[in-house]
Amino acid sequence: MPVIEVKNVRKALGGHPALKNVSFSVKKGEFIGIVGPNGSGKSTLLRSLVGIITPDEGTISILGSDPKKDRGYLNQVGVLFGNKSGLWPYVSVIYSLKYIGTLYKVKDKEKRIKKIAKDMEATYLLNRLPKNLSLGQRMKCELMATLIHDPKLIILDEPTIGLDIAAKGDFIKYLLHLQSEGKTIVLVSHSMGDMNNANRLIVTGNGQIVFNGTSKKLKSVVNYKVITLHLLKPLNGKYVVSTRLLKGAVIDDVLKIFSSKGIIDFEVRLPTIEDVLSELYRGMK
Amino acid sequence: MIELGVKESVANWKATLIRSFQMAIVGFIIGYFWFITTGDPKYMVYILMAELIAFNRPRVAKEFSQMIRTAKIDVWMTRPRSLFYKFFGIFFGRSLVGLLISSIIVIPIAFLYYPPHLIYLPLFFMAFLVNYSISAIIGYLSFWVGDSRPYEFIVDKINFFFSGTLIPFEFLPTWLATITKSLPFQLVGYFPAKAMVGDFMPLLFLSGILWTTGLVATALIIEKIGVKKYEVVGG
Amino acid sequence: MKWLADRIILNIKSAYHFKKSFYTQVISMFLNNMIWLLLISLLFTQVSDIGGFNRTRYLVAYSYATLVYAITSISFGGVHRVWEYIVEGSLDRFMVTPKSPLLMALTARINVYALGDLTQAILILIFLKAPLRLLLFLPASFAIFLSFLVIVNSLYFFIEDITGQIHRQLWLTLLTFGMWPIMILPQPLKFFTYYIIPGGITFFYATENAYTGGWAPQLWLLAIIFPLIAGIMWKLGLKKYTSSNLGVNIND
Repeated sequence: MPVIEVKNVRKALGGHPALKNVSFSVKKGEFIGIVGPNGSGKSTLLRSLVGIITPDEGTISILGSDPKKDRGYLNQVGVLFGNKSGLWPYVSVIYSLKYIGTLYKVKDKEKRIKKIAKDMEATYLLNRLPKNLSLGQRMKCELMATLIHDPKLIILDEPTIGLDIAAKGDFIKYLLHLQSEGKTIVLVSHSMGDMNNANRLIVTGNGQIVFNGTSKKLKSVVNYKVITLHLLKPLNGKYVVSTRLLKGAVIDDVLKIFSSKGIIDFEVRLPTIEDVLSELYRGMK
Repeated sequence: MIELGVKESVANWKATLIRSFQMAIVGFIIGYFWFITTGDPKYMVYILMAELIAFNRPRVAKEFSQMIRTAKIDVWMTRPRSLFYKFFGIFFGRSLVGLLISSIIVIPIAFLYYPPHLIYLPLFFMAFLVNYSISAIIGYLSFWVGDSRPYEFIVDKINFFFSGTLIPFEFLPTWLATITKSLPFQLVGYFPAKAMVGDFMPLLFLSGILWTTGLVATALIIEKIGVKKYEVVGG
Repeated sequence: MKWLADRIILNIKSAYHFKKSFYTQVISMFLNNMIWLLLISLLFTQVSDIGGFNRTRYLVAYSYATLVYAITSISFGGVHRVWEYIVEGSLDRFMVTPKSPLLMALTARINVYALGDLTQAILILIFLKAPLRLLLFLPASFAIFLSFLVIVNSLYFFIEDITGQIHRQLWLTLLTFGMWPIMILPQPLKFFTYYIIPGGITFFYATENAYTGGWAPQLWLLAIIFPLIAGIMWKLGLKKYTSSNLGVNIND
């Protein structure tokens, strides 16, 4: 049985269709990345998954439960909202975590908290006040709060927003560790760097799923490579320009076009996921 | 869960202490005013006890309203139990600390005028529950109206006027006193304060239990309906 | 002064954009005050006077207090929010303007409810034929009230109170002391309500002097002292203030 099953879900918000006939499923142990431009329906989809929003049509099943009817599934799901804190700023982290553990009726809360903190190399944060922590540290604590009840499914909404590269890397590394323990991860993010390790990507656009597959498959959606040229003389004020090298095109032809500006160096690369997404987003507009 | 509210208040100990002293001073001055006006020292204690409850009233509506308006409530909606339950301990912890510190100052002063019947202190819990429920209901209105602060303001005023904290019911005309005695606000001022000066009203206590149960149930029902109605546009 | 007037008009226009909320707030405050006046009137059917104040004089004192509060909250409505800016660490935006950060913060918004207070206060004072002499004391009462609130807000440079309860309780206390004729209190208590949380002197003492023809010298003295204290506290607090990205968002 899939961990998440979404079938023909439609939802209108304020008269505007936010989700249009969305269907997908997530298997146990998968790491799914949901990505899309602002207003594409990602957050509406996420909120529908966790029962905050009720779809107008269609069905959603999370661990076999309907999120709007049976809230019992929440005991097996951990949800993290990147821009919303569930900790009390003036009380040390461990007390907030103990309180959250009480909500989930976690036994041996202190032991559990210390174990998670040790795994995350965050033991030093337990006795600190959230208000005094950096954003990266606070996110670690928020993740600890999400994991305290040992959920099977972890859903994260923009958890790396505002984090520096190192902090992001640590965060994603830990998510992969959780995946290796058999947990299912659903990550909603703008940052493609977070998605590099996802098993599958779901791209949303205009309330629909425009792509559902591996990142390799996503890259194959486009039929060009990217050529970047370093010029001696500027072109429209730029010394470094990039353009597409369509399938079948010859590099010499491209070089000829720019030769009048003097080509110091050039490189050809495959499109990154960002390039592909930009392409997809452009198509959505 | 109460522990969290207590820890928070202790963490903000300067603020808690200042508020408690302030409560004691204000309560004493207004109590003294009524003592001089009526010549009855019981009124000093009555006002002190009523102000003790009023000052430590939980301001749930503001927090719930803010969370709903800013969609920060999402974090709590993905965790088990009702919002009412989840935040009860925290607010109770906060109020408890304020109440305890204020009592340390106020009760000895009260004894100088008229010995309060401390056995009725547990009635303060009923007052807290009523205040909490009413405030939560107002906060939940944000599911429908977006910003429930104007309504909180109105209910605060009604509470202020009709709880007997400002003017003991004996000084109101009979018709008005009858109205105030049929509302639940008397449970957060008049009833517990009167009990503390030896005028415990068993019938009012029984109706208080009914009111409290009714208000808690109403809050839970409104929360359930509001949560179902809740929709938020994504980022 | 023109700048201040412009800012107030801008704040009113901005608040009026949300017409429904605007009228709800104004009308609800008006009704709130009328209920209070009704209750006090009813109280005076049980007692003939309190501390030498009969019903009329009492209602005049109350309406005068309301008037002072209203003028402060309309012209310097931000005075109820400065503590938030301090706690959040968002005072910065006022520090990068050519005007004083305090002035900018105080005039950042208008308290719409106060328009209801203003309406009610003016109507009642006219209806009760309040002595015109009261207007003489208005600047002094206004200065004390505003300064007291600035002092309360400045406390937030030194204490942590994320809920704003101290601010709320202190200014409500000031108003509370201005709602009772506390001249009947013994000296130590009177001192407290006159000079520490000066509700008594700001409102009732002013009213008493308006009726008796006095000049309220203590009121004027406090009108000099309180702003001085407010200025000093604000300056000290501002020095201590550190804006930080880790400033707690009170909406968290």
